[in-house]
Amino acid sequence: MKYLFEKQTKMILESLTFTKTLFAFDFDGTLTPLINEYENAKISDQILELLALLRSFAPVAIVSGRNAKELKTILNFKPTFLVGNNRLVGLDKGNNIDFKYEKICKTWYHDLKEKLFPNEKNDLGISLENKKYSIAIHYRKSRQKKIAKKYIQDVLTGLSSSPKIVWGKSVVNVIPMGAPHKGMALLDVIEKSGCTNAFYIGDDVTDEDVFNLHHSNIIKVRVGLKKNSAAKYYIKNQKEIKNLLLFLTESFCKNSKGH
Amino acid sequence: MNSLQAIKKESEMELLLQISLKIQQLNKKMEKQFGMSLTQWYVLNALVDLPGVSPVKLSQVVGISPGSLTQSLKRLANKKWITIVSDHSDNRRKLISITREGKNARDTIDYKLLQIKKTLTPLLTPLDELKKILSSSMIF
Repeated sequence: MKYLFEKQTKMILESLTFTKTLFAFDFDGTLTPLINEYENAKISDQILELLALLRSFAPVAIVSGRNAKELKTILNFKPTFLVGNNRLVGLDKGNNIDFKYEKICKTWYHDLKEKLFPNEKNDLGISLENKKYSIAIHYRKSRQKKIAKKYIQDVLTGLSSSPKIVWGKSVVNVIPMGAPHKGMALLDVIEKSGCTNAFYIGDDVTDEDVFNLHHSNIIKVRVGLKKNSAAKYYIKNQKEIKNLLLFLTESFCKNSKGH
Repeated sequence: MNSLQAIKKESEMELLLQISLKIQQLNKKMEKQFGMSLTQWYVLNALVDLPGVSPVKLSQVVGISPGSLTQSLKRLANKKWITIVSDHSDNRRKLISITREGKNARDTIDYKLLQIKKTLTPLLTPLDELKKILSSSMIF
């Protein structure tokens, strides 16, 4: 992976502003830092301002596995495109396949709730989230993360319908095989936007579904360097998002002034 | 073929050759006058919409053979109008992008070419026909 702010790599980034490019961002851990109370995640004012400015130059998408309804209430920014539950909002027409995944997740949610919270509470700081086409089991708040993780692993072994288990940062995603993922969602957004190129940045294992897309017209960036990631570029940490947005907006401003 | 037809055929081939020579001259004249040849302008133009493109794909898009393209890319890189970086997954592979200087140079030439473009616009259809004929296997 190449560091995004190296001299020559920056030129590639800058050249995205010369043509029709969609700028897509993961939410948790990318636009907002990861926090224990994920329900309180909010984009900072500074980043908000830069995102709004970027949106005045080019289409901006937020791509999240979070529940779309929840995202709308906590998002203090209106992107050009919003992806929640790994589906482009507005494209979720409720076809049979989507209902199938939704049904599987409801069953899992019910089973996991019984097993993880046998007495309706959990002492390990574990919480459960139904994201419609996937389930997330969070243990960020746990003070015994290793024990919590082992406990979750044991509970998951008995789950029906052979789920795809994706371990992230203090969260495990339980996904029905073939269910919508961020990669598919991003391709829908690119098509809808009419853009010839795209830029995507994310920080977690679920973003690897985007990084593994074999589309050479997508610039794929990871938040944090990771050895086995399929992303071509990386920024050092979430704090560098501000530098990224500053760089892009300054580049667009220079274009407008004919520099 | 009678003698009149023979003369006509020679004129057509002569005309084709003259056009080819004139285009070569235009290429050199542009480089002398604007610092950018027609080929270089064409490659830069394509690169604007292809950030981080591989040389193979660029060659397919512009229709210039990889060997000829390499020479043009070297000249463009020397003028700092493009940047060439190694692909992270394979150091032998390269990725190319136009730089801001390259885009500004292209935009400046675009403006200067406006007059030539205006003159050529009415000829677009016959020129396109000529291109199709030359590309077809009917010729040889």
